[in-house]
Amino acid sequence: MTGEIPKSPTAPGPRVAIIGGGVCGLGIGWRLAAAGCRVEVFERDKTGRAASWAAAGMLAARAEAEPLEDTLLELNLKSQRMWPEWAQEVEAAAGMALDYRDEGTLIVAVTRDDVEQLHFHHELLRGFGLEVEWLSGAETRRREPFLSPKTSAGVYSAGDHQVDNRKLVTALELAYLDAGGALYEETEVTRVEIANGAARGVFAGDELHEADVVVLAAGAWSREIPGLPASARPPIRPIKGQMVALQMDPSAPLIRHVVWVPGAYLAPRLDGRLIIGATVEEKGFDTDVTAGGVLNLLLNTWEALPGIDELPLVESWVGFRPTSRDDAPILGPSPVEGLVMATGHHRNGILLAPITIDAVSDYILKGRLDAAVRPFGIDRFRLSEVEQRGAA
Amino acid sequence: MSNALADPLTIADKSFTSRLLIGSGTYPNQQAMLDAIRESGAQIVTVAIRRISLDGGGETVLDALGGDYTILPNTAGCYTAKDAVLTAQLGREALETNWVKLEVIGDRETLYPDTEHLLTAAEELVRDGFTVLPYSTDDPIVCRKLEDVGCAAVMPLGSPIGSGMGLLNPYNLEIIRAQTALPVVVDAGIGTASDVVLAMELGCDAVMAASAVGRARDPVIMARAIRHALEAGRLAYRGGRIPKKRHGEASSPGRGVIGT
Amino acid sequence: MGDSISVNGIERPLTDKTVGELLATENVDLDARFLAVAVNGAVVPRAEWNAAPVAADDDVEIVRPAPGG
Repeated sequence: MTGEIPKSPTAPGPRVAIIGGGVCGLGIGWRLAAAGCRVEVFERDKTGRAASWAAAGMLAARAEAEPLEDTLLELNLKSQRMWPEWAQEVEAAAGMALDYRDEGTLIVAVTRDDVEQLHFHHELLRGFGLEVEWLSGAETRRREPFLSPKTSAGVYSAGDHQVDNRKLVTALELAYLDAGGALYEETEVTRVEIANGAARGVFAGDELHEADVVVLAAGAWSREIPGLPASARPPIRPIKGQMVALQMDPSAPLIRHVVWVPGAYLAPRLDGRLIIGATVEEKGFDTDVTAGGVLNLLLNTWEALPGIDELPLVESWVGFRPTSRDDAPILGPSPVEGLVMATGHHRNGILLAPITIDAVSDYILKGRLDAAVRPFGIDRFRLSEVEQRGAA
Repeated sequence: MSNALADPLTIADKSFTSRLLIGSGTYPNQQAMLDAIRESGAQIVTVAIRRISLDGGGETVLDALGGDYTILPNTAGCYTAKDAVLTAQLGREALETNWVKLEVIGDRETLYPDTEHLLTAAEELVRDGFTVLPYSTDDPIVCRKLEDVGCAAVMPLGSPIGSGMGLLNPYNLEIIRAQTALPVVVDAGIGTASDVVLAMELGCDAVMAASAVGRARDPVIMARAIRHALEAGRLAYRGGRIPKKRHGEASSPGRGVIGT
Repeated sequence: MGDSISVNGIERPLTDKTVGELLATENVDLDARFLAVAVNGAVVPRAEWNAAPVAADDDVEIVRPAPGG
């Protein structure tokens, strides 16, 4: 694979243009600016208001593990282990708290069919070698007393924590600006400038911003950035998710763990907000919050946690998971020299922020790619036989 | 499949070496779907017909599948004959096929077919030139009526969609098999390979699997298991099982045993 | 109040005269494969998109295949 990072003899580091001002773009910008690079971040909206804002902030490498995703699980676990220390580093750089919570995650079963499904999931997680604990209904309720009396079983994952992702956005923006990065909000990249197979910068409107390295961190929009050759267009589609937030009394919250009930997950924030997500819809960039979507989230939650009945519903929103063919991210070099990928994180963007940000900035600064992210290059799709047949 | 060429599955005017119809939903991700479908050996893949997003984005499931399969649009999610007929017609236009897997669902909890609407839709679609593969209850009378209106196969359920409970009434399936000249495709309820073997041993011609593969712990391995189960079950059916008896019958000669 | 039309279940003002114009207004790629359109419960074949009229209160459905069992 090409994608060597050009060394500039005069500047302390390469000039970098980053497409996308979400957690990945801001985080990479922060690291590079702090290392002395001249960095520009281009964000089509306000910073971090897409998937980074919509997310629930769950760092759930274990509870969310899925069949056939062993390689991704390794990456998720590695990033999960980085999180506590990484959070402290961000907090120190930004001078604000991220509300990291480490109570762990409970997966809850109510009906008989739920228990069967939970057994299946528990076996899957154990098969992956993950430390998760099977709990009786009574033990589950002892840990979260407001769960329905019908709660019949639970699985506890101590290692799956959460963070307030909106605070993370704000903190990374502060850290980035503080490190001297330039931020262009509401500025769409109209074209990636490529000459002789190498990225030379990006156009914002009619103006060329020259750069030695261009980072594609545009989330669900990554496939649609103009100017990319087919081989460097990441196969990413948006998967719509609807979410709602209820307001609990922060001094007497209904739950303290992240709780998965059948058909919804609940992330309780320190400020009392209870984040409930999320639908999974192949609907392109459709931004509607629908009656059916909210109904399902609330009904599924209410069945397991009837105490939500009286809570005010304070917000509802839609986000777009940037999803590749295999649900895994696309990281590192591309067939275009100087064009680096940091996108396609599906539902794991917050979880994978530390490894993505550190590995991609390291690669840009030192030209070495962390072994942990090597399986996640865009070349894995190019080599796919099915892909080639589809293109033929 | 050994002997496959001599023992094809024929539905309407098409022949297949695989006896599996496979779904394209419920997989952990798109790549898992492609890998599992390839591993299953299936030649017929079902897809749903849905409103497009008017806000752009994404590729269709068919772009991912490529051109190697017979694509069978279904009418999943329809609750009336009217909606099912229009969905079938839209599927025909979108996919340039007159085949349709006809589903008219009766309620959300059981996902049982609405037989009255199913028969109405089947009759109308056959008149409109469709090759109709109707998902129905495992009721021999319903299957006979579907045959009478001109369907190309019958697709009785083994148990409710996605339940994984296998074939709850094998006796009905045997009766359906015995009475119809059409291919019998067991649809819905398959949980694992042994359910597929049983369906084949009963003489059914094919099996439809969706959740059984897509929601398995390892969909690719389960796809292979289902492929082998189809082969084992079909061969066992053709080989012919021995009668079940209450007493033992030695399989070695009784005479010439030492010490007698 | 001006004339309106329903597209995939959503009411919007009527601005187009034909199915082809309506698809263009909705940013649907007219050359995309696997698309189908129905107006008031009747499929409009692709060859007729440019000629087939749409009028006030019409009910338009635009569909394509999706993953499913």
